[in-house]
Amino acid sequence: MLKSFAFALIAFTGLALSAQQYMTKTGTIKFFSHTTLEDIKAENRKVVSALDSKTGAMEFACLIKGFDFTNDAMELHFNESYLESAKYPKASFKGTVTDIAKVDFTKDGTYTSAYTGKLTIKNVTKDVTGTATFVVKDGKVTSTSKIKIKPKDYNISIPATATAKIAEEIDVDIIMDYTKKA
Amino acid sequence: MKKTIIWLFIIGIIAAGIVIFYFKVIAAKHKDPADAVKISLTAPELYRMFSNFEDSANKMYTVRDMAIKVSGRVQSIEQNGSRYTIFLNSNDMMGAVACEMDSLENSSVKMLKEQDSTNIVGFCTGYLMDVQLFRCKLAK
Repeated sequence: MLKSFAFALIAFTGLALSAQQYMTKTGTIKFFSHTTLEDIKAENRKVVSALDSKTGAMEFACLIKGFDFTNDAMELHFNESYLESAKYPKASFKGTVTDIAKVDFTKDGTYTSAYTGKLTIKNVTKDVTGTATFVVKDGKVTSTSKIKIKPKDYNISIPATATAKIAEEIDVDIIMDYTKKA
Repeated sequence: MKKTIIWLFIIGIIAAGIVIFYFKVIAAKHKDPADAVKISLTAPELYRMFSNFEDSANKMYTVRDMAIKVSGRVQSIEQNGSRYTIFLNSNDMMGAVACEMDSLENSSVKMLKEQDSTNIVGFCTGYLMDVQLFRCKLAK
């Protein structure tokens, strides 16, 4: 499955050499769970993503084991009990920036656009919509977006002993530092 | 006297339990990759394993607390926030071995140039266009 994603992304990138293709292999996804008992945060800084500035097609994927926790015990539970990363090694998103025309990729500035797509975690796919901010500067494009996800929507079961420590809704920050493909 | 000794013993056990719980759970630290290396190989060998036998490679190299030592030539270096990622040449145009360095290594990473030979220890997280490693350190 990982290989098919890699080929799909390359095909996606290659297809549009005539169009405007942006890509990153060092995108960041951060998540944060807050409860009165405990705050949990982690980040993955090796997210692979491609964005087509003409059509608005956008996708990204990351390895679950690539989420870096400050606390080693939390990382163990995340991988082995909740996300089962050996069985479901990646998460992915495939969607479209619906009003990509609002973003002028040739002119430095800050633009906001809506997007919609499908997020897959643990082989469960759900629709996601939101808005992303695109900052264009010196030919580079940084997109940022915030979403909230519910673990139970993606079959992430939390044992009764841990429910008080993990928020029902997790805040997720998605930050992509795109550069234009040659 | 006997009761006091029993109580002191119980309190000692509880205190030891609290200390162990604190260091193993609340303040559990990640292993240093330099102390956890079990396998050494070249970047092209590691990339070839993942691109040809991904499932087996995942089982072999993405084992928790098991670091690997990878040797290879620097293809490129990218900065993401306060960290650097060194991409080692895999001899395959499809991808590289992407090593996200510990931020404590920043000053040493800045000395590296493209095509330099280097050795890196780190924890492998899998394959996604590139073979990915994190918490990496430069090694001899």
